[in-house]
Amino acid sequence: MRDIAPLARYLEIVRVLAARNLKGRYRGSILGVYWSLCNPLIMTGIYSAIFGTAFSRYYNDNIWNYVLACFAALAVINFFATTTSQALSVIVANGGLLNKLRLPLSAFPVSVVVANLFQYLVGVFPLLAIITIYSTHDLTHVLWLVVPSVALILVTSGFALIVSTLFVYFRDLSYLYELVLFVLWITSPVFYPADLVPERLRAFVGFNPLANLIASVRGIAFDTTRPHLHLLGVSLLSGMVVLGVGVLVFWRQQRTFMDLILG
Amino acid sequence: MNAIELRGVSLWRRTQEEFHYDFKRWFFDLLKNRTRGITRRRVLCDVDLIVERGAKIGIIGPNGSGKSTILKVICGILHPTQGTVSVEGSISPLIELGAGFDSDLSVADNIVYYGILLGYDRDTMIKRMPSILEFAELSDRQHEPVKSLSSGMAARLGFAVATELRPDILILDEVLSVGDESFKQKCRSRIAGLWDESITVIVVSHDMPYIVENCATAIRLEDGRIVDRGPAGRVVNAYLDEVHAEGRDQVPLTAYNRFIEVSPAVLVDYRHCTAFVDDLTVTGECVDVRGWAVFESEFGIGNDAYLLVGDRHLTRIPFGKSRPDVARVLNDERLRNTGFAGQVELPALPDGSYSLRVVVRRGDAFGISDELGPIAVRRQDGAFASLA
Repeated sequence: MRDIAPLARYLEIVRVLAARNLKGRYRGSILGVYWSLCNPLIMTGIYSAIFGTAFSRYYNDNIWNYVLACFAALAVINFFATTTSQALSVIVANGGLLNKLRLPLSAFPVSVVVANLFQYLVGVFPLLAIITIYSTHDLTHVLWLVVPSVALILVTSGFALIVSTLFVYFRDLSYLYELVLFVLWITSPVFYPADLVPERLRAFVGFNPLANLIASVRGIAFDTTRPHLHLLGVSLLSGMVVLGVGVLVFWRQQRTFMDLILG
Repeated sequence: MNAIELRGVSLWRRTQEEFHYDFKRWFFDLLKNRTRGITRRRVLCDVDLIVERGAKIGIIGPNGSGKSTILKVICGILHPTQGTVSVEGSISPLIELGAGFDSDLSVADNIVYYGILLGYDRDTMIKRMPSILEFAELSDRQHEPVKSLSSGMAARLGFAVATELRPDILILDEVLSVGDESFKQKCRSRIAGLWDESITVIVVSHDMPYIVENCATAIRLEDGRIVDRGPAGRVVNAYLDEVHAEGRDQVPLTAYNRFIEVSPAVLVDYRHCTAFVDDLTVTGECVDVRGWAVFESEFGIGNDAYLLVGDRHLTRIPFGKSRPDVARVLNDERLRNTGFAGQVELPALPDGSYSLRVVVRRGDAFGISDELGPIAVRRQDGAFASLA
């Protein structure tokens, strides 16, 4: 009856938690998932209206190129920001459940990533693929898009594990985390071209893993030449490092969680 | 074979007093070099508990003595700081029923969701859905969100999901206080159905008669230690004696003249209560009971008397306050000696021979009679039970 393998049980729990997450947000409607596209589309519209004319000279004087570049960046950063802010409180919010049933703690932040990944795969990713085909006329570039997407998942999962751990200790972290997200946002070349950053600061901005991701997505989606393998490698590597740190932090602290979250 | 083995288990938990969950304060404390160290408290102390497969064991003790903590350790929710825990077989925890529901999801989705969290697989839950809904009496509401159910209905659903499949180890933590009287009865008979030779049961309860009736052995916890273990009756008696001894210091008892009537009828005598059954007659589907109860004190809230049917002693048929139409029971709540009389309708029972017991209680004081009967139940053209 209950002799399911531990891994299968873990995956089943992740699946059911992710389904709860999605159903809770969209009341069971499949179309609801496409609401998640609203945010990046509206933001793209606003940025294009305000900065489009000023920055289009960096994009071959074509405002349409700016719009697409802007959307690609927003797709990346939006996935990261939504997922990690949801993951922030997920352990504490499910304290009641964790105090009553034996459940793998990490399944909760992981399920948040999975739920958002599902949205990404049905909403944003197809749009990115269409944009890529439109601007490069090359189907192989769509396959290349998978690489920065994987790196994005790694980085996001790592952060999700870290912030959900920290939130157990510091419940006022949501305000601070908004600030962190804003810093990541503003140091990523979302609505401005990367060339605009002063030379002296570029080294610092390089620490922002999202900036590299945005650069590699744009490289694949808009550059007809071969993708920059160097950039992709750096993105994947930093993704693995962030995830490694996240797993380590979570693993070391999770025994303490049960003493600090109340039923 | 042992179902549960706890060897030398101690558990230290972080206390939350030094902890304010506040980054700002932590940061400023850090600047002022004022951070306090972590304090831990021992909540379980060197607990050895070996439960054989099929054993029924009760855990008693005051609030905060570690009863729920020990269950959490057995379930694997908490990990011991020292010692080892090994558990053979599947556990169905019934800790606070319905706590696992997501109130926005529909009843049907919640059954699958909660079932998977409990450790069952998806296909099983989908297959068992109709019978779960039927037991919870919610078949017509499966598409409604759980938040539209009353708390009693949600508890019913929780009980139905948690007991749908037979676990190897059943954990009962004060769960029978859910729902209305008829559902409580239904829960009891379902638990009675689970209660057979092979299943291991752990009951945590403040309901002392329940422990004595249903558990062979009991352990008593005090400040995270096992201070007493043995046959349930003896452990419960010793515990209640101490509680009463403490109580006597605070509430002076009026002088009581304890009298025990020697009667040819069956004596109900257990715990600060002596009672006897004058008469017990079975007519058709009804049992008439008449007798007297003498309590050692008039303190304690509520009088209650009920009939236990069957060898599992789990089918309780209250006759008394809950059935005022058919019974007059313990007619004066404040008198130390009081009569009871009532007519009890027998539940639908499979054909067979059953014993009866009468239980009388007031607060902590209670009595359980010797076995009466047996009665034979034969369901032939309405012909029913008779005192054999």
